[in-house]
Amino acid sequence: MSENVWDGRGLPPAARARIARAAGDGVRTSLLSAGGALSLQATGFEIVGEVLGTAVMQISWTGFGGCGWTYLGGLSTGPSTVTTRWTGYAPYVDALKAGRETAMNRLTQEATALGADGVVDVRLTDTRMEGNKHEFVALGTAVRSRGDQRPARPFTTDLSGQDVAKLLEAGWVPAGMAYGISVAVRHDDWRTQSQISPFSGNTEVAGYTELVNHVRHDARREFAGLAARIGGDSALLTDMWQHVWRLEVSDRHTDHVAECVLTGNVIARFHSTPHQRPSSLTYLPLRSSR
Amino acid sequence: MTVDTPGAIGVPDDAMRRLAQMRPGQPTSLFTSDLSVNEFLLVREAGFRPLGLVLGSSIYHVGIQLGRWSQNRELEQLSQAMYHARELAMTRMEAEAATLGADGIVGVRLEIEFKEFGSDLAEFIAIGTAVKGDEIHARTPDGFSWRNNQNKPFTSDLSGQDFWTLIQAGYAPLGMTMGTCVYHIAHQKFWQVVGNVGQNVEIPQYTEALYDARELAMSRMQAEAEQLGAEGIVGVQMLSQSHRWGGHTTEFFAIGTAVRPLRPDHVIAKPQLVLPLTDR
Repeated sequence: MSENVWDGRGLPPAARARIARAAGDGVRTSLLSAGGALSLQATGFEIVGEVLGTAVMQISWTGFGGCGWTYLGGLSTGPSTVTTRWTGYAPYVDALKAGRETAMNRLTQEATALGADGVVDVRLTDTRMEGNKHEFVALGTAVRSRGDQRPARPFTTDLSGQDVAKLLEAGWVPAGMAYGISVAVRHDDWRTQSQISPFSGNTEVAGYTELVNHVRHDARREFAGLAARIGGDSALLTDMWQHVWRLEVSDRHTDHVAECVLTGNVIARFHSTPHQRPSSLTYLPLRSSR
Repeated sequence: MTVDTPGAIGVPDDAMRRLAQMRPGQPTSLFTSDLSVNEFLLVREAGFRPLGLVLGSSIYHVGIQLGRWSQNRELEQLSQAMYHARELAMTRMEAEAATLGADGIVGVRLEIEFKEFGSDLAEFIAIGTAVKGDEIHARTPDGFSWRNNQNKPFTSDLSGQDFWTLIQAGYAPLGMTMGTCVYHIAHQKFWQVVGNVGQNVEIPQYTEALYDARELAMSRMQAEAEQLGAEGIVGVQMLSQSHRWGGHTTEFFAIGTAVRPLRPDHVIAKPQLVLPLTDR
């Protein structure tokens, strides 16, 4: 049996078999809605088939659990916000990124094997399972242009078929999906503690504001960097997720940790002037909205 | 199944060529926005170019003020907190937009999230997309700047769709206007509760409290619109949220976009009637 164990490189045997079958029998499966499929076909794409990429990652080490304040010998103000690069959270963020990349790469490999030009309506999920395991699943529908021109590698997008068709009509093409992840930690210094005391009245909590702004800024920078590496002219954000939680490091030492994840689509312009813009029409639908 | 659309083949061909020619890693003038595809295309069609996502946020400790058990009154300290914190978030967002040289910010979302890690802590966050008029569209049709009378980028919480419709109809957004009032609604007195047992009656002091609080919020919003020299406010939402203050203390929050007409003789397009083939 041991020679049948998959070593984690390339596609798993089941996926290879499925791709071979799909390439052979000509049956097309698709996850698109009827409207999505129809609008893509009207724009000049054929549906190639459903494609999948998954990766289950063990993410055990989620940071050493503090800002490192105690090591600095009890400075009166404490250190300010520190991000991914400076804390023990780098392995955690790297593992999240690796999981995403692996799932997306496998999805793209399947699409390439089917001779597709792109994957639309991608649903990328990160499910947390028992024992610090994360399951990354990317599901999408591969499409192929009816023309002769082929891109260097298939594009990916989580936009629906309708949205892709509208973009193409207006002279924009999806180029790839981008994301940005950042984690930051901040020590609750004396100033923060005094600002959150019940007696402090109306006041901005400068430390927490700095923390959330910092982590968001860092995630945006990561997102923009990745989007720039993909190329393209514009990035449309699909989701911005942020979570802040409290960390009880030791007695009388609390920190706050913020995590921010941005996802979006990079799109590229292929006509300097729109040749046939989809016309927008002022219309009044004859249905009741409530 | 194939759909026969003559001429459509050219679209993916050009698009695929663009992807084939793309040189990853080269610096581009890439911008980010949180508009949807529909909104993005409509904002472009309205003659505006997105410059980037702009964002302002503030984590705020809201003080404590208790209302008298049986008295209808505004809790000024809480109203003040809601005002101040929103102002901080909005100003920071506007500052980001000004740095980008924006004419305005569209699709602004102003959200409040009370945090679970602190009892009186809330994050106030304002997110939107900074836009600038295209060259031919650099000034309004009547020759003014798109910025408002305080030389700040306009702000609007309208969706991209509503923004397009507004510009088409000959109006320009000036700024988001808001009014807030945190109000304590009196509890009923004991003899009143006893007297009303089993009866269908109006409770006048409740009704009056709601009227008072709404009126305060609305008039504050109107005052802001007057400062901007607006003709009116569109897309007004009137929200009542009790956040974490229990049943008798409620924030009444009015928010909308102040607008002015671009021309005295502007025409509003007559809408087409359509029968959608969708079931929702």
